[in-house]
Amino acid sequence: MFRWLARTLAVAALAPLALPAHAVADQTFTASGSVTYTWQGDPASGCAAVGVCGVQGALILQSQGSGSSTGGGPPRGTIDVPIESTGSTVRVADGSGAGECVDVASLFPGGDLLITRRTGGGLVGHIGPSVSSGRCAGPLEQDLAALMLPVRRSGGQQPTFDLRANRSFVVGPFAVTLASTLVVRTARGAGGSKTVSSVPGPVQRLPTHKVLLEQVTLHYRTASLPGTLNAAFSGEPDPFCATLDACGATGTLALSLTRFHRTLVVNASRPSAGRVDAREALADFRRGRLQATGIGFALGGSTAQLSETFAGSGGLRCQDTVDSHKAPLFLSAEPARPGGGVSLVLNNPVGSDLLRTYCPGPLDSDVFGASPGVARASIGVTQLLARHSVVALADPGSFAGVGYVGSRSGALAFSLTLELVHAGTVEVVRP
Amino acid sequence: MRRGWLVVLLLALAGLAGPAQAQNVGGQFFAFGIGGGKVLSETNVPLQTTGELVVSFRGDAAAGCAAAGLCAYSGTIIVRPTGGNLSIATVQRGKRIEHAATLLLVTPESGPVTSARVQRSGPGGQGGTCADGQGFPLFGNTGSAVARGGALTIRVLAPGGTLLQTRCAGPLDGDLASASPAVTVPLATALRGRTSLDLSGTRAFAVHGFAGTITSTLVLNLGMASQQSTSSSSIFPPGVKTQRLRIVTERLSLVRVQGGLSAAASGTADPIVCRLLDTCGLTGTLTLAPAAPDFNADVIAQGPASRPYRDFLTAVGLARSGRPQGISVGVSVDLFGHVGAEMSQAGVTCTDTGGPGVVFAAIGISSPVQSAGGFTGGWRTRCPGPQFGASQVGVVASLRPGALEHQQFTIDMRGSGSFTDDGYVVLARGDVSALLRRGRITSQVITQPSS
Repeated sequence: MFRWLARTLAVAALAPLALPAHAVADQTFTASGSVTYTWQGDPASGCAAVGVCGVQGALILQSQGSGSSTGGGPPRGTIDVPIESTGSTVRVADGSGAGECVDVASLFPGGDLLITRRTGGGLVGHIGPSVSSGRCAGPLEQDLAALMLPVRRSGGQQPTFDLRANRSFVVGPFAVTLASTLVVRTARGAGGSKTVSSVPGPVQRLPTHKVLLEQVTLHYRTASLPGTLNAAFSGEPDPFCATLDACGATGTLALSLTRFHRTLVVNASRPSAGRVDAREALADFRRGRLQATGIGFALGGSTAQLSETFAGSGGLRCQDTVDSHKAPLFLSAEPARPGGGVSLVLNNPVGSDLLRTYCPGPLDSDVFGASPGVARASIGVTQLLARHSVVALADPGSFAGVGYVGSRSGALAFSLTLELVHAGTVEVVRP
Repeated sequence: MRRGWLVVLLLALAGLAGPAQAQNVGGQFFAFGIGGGKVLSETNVPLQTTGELVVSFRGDAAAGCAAAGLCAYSGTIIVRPTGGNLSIATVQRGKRIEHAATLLLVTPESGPVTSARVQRSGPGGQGGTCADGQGFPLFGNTGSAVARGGALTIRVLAPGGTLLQTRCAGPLDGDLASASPAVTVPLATALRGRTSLDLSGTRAFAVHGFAGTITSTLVLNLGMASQQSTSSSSIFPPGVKTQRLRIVTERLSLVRVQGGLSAAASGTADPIVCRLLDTCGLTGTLTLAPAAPDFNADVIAQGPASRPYRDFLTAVGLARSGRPQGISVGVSVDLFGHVGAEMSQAGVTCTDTGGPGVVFAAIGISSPVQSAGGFTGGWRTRCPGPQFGASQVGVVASLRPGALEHQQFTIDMRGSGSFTDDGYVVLARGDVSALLRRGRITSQVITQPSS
């Protein structure tokens, strides 16, 4: 194993050194150094109210080596250099003396150091995405992604970007220190090339043809109604819980959405040999002869509110509520069984940390599993054609994640008001 | 090595390797690490795991902890993979057909595969706790899978394995090999997949300064096997332009080596970081033993396959009639050895010789001459200390001008600069000078998307 690995590394190291000129990216950079995040509960920032005044934690990211710029690097573009966040270890002591929470960042995706030009003109560096305190108490992904590093540029055509800094921030109830020893240099011999290799080769056009579709399109005004998705969790049995210092821990999570209005579009169609009128299309839809799909929408403008309580066996008592204006949730309508209407699904992109607060606790992947679906509801054809209806999205059941087990309950409710119906035949172009 | 590893490692290396690593390679590439035989086919069996492996240990006088300075340490290491891959390659060596197997254990979700919590009892009750975890170290979470005589033996802990590897003090995988959970099945059963391999059991151990127990409830549930023939041609999506590249590789053998490389490691000064990893005040040196090192070195030339072969030979200094312009030439070197450690903290010194360590370097001959290199292969011993993944800093290599015009030439590798590994600051030191002799040449043509 080591023999092969060393071989691979040596060959990999040769790649940026010995590539033919035509294979060199616009500019190639190498990074050295690391970024260390440390945090501790800050009385001046309300750690007592959350219950994390005794928390101390650390996360260190290593630079991985070489990366490339897009568009030539600042000032013309962005420098993107990989940072070792996959496998970086989070360590947090909660002050109770019971133990330490140890977690490891997710395998995918890795983090990146991005150097961009600020609106005001100066260069700035930031690390993201997917860097957080994981299941341990500490800053959230969005908190760490917002932290900026100063960038000092030197050199001419082959610049060096110095991101060494020691900065302090307040993030929620924590005082966070960011210590960077990062320096990004132009790879020797690689700078100055003006050939960009990232443009893919020409792709052949596939032949297309026109088809007729018998189609019904339904437009709904959608609004959220009061409701919460809940999870009750506890630490796994010993020894699984020991890694996360979750032995004997219990807690709850409650996710709710503030009120919002959106338009949801549901399409139902099937290929048709000839043209049909609206009445016939609607009749076929009622009979379940059309396959329904939907055009969803992101809930980006609305706020997802998450409340958590956590009681650790060592005496940690944490309670927190986080408002996320950047909740990546989106509502989609997916085909149900043939002729059976649609499934409304509330999706949460894999890798997001929707369920994390400043308290320790399970990740989204622990509670919801690998599927992006957080909650769902089936809507039959009759309900789809109703003027008004209410759907409750839920996914009750038990879960067993890393370090935590528990159960899901509750529902998020939405009202649907049918505002517009198009029915008939449309002509579409298909490959 | 095998494709499963290749895919995972190339993903991890994507940032290091640049676009050249995206190439579609033929079967010979996978011959690395399996003795140079020709890989005829490769069977990959994805697997899911249930259960865990728990190693509880303490420094034990009867096992010799005093001599190594390990008596102060006690702890628990939990290994909890959730999935992985069993890869079995069919290899032809001469007229013999053999099988080479690799077991990879990972956790596809976030979270550590291996976590350790190790207490250090210090004088006057002044001790500490080292807490560390490993998700997917670049050098892998491997157990041992050995195919012999129509049977496959899977051993979770084996010499050279990395499942127990963290930055905390503790036993090495190889120490516990004899007490490791293991199972032997007919090779045909493993090649078919869709079976469960029970690795559960409890065993005691007392070796290399530590005594304790291994408790395993691990079960490997093999999925459906898929076979790939390595003779299949490269396939790219329609419309993607490709180019053919020739890679000429010349093996180098070691005539003699002098010197050694080391890493001076100390706990970081950050009080929060060093407390959580118990590295406050810890200092020491890791040394790659220079005696009888294992060595791997090549001269590699790469260019368009349409160019005459003599151009490649000219580029590597073996002919004079060709045109070397446009052919990239590099020298890659790997130095393998056992790592010696001497780590001191609070008046206690841990001294050990442990697992493998590797120093690698690459020199691009094309003008201007450039080099990159670093420490890799873990460098772990039973003492607390840093571990080196794939740092591309710490080693500078150099080659004298015109070196490739000679049958023998010297490459110098020098420890240079400092770097960090989690709670450690590392200073690279030392020099190695290696006299190399040129040897067998092989050539392969690969197809990759054109730029």
